[in-house]
Amino acid sequence: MKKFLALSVAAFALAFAVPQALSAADDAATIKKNMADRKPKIEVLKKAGSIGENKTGYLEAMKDVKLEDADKKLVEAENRDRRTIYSAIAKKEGSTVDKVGELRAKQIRSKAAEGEFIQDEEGNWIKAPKPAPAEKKEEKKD
Amino acid sequence: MKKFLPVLAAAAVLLGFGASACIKTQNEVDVKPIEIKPVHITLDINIRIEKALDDFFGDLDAL
Repeated sequence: MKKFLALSVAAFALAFAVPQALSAADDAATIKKNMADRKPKIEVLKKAGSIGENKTGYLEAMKDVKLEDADKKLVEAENRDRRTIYSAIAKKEGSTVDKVGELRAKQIRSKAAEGEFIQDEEGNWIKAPKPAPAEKKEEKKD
Repeated sequence: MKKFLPVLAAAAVLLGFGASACIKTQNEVDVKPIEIKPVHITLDINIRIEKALDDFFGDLDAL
């Protein structure tokens, strides 16, 4: 009976749990690849000032900018994938999708290229300033 | 017996003050950990989330 139970558990793991874990990893890898493929086009739209990074961790078309259909779909696909990742992290860490998005927005703001539109925590759209130069470590002189 | 009454009354009053002082001290000790603990938990979760975000987006941000 014990052997039967152990075999049943192993069979269940092979049939459901393992493929699900692999599937999640595959999904993350696929999403990452898709994001990497989209990035050059997104950078062009950001540099043109057509889209910006909002305070909730998603891309947003700037006011008075009407995106072409292809660009609109690109932004929607990017935001959909971001939400999937935020959701997975929120679930893993016992937080909310919104909180993860806010923290991602903070990271994006700190890495934004000069002149790109970013939304600050109060909701104001501003152009990202020139990134501060990395601090040089002082060399000790003997 | 009459001599003892004021002494007993004074002792009761002193005990009352003493007891109330003890209760106040206990309240202060009990409240502090409750106020601080959630801050630590929130910071800890935020750090873990930022780490998870770095793990996933780190490569993409570097592109």
